[in-house]
Amino acid sequence: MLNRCFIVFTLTALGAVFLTGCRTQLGYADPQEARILSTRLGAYDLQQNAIAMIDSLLSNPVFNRKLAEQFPDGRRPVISVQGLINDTRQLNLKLDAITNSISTRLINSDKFEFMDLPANNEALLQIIADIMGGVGDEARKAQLLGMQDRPDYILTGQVQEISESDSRVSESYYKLTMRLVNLQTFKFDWAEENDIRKTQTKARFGY
Amino acid sequence: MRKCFSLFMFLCCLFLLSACQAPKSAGLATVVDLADDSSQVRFDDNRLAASLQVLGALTRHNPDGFIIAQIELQNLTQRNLPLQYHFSWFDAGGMEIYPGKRAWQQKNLHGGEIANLQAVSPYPGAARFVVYFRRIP
Repeated sequence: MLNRCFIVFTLTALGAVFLTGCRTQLGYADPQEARILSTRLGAYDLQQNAIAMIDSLLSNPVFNRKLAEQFPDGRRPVISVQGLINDTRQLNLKLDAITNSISTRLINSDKFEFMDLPANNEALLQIIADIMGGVGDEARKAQLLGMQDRPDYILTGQVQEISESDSRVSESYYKLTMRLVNLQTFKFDWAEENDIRKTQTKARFGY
Repeated sequence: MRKCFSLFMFLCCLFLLSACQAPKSAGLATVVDLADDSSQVRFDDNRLAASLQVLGALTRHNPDGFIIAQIELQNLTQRNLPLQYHFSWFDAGGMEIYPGKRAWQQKNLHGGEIANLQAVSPYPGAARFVVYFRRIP
């Protein structure tokens, strides 16, 4: 009798655990937490890239020296951020998330003034693209320098992907490279790159 | 026979409870006060404390007021230790600067490796920072 009661009690307890503890759960997650779900470039990877870039931009001693030389009066330079070039296989990647994070933190750092580059400012964007591409250098530079409402710096960048795999291991390598173009000298005053490597190894047994 | 059955049921319960519980998120925290360069480490997870040692903290004040912090860590085990860490910055009044805006960063420490983790204050007026470490769930 005692034995039977014990079995019933244990089975009831197990059933209760199944029904309550292991049900599908819905809740809020920490958006800042480290997450790895696949070898594709995810939201957390973009956050990490943004942190690396901002920290470098705020603390780079070479860039700080160049800033002090160009702005001896202590004026805050005006910066604009151009959209990143997506050189990965993920065509639907929201790279604006990185540029928006970078812009927000740069504005809040009080080190830069920020100027938005409106999409309809085609003249400015075309001139910058031409200069970066080495097209009509001197005339384009003079045209840009003649513009009154323009930033001192423009931040450009590119995300690249290299993937390789064999029967068990698949690996993706992502590199974000960013450069800060000085629109007075048309030289790169700062550049930084950040690498992320993600691997997935299939189990020999199981799934 | 009855003892075996009881043991089996007990193990089943343990397995279920361990599988269904919330992931462990406690870790270590290092508090560094920039006024007197003092630092203290708080342990919330003894298992992580046995695997990870904070060797020291360095800070550098840039001419423009930004502070660069560096924490030196050592993996005390022979195996890889995948970690995530988070820097929080505070002003002189103890208020956190831009709370919750900085993501946890990941670092994979190889066995016995000594590594340096760096971060820059989000604003020139930082007076104290805290670094949290925990395992990647």
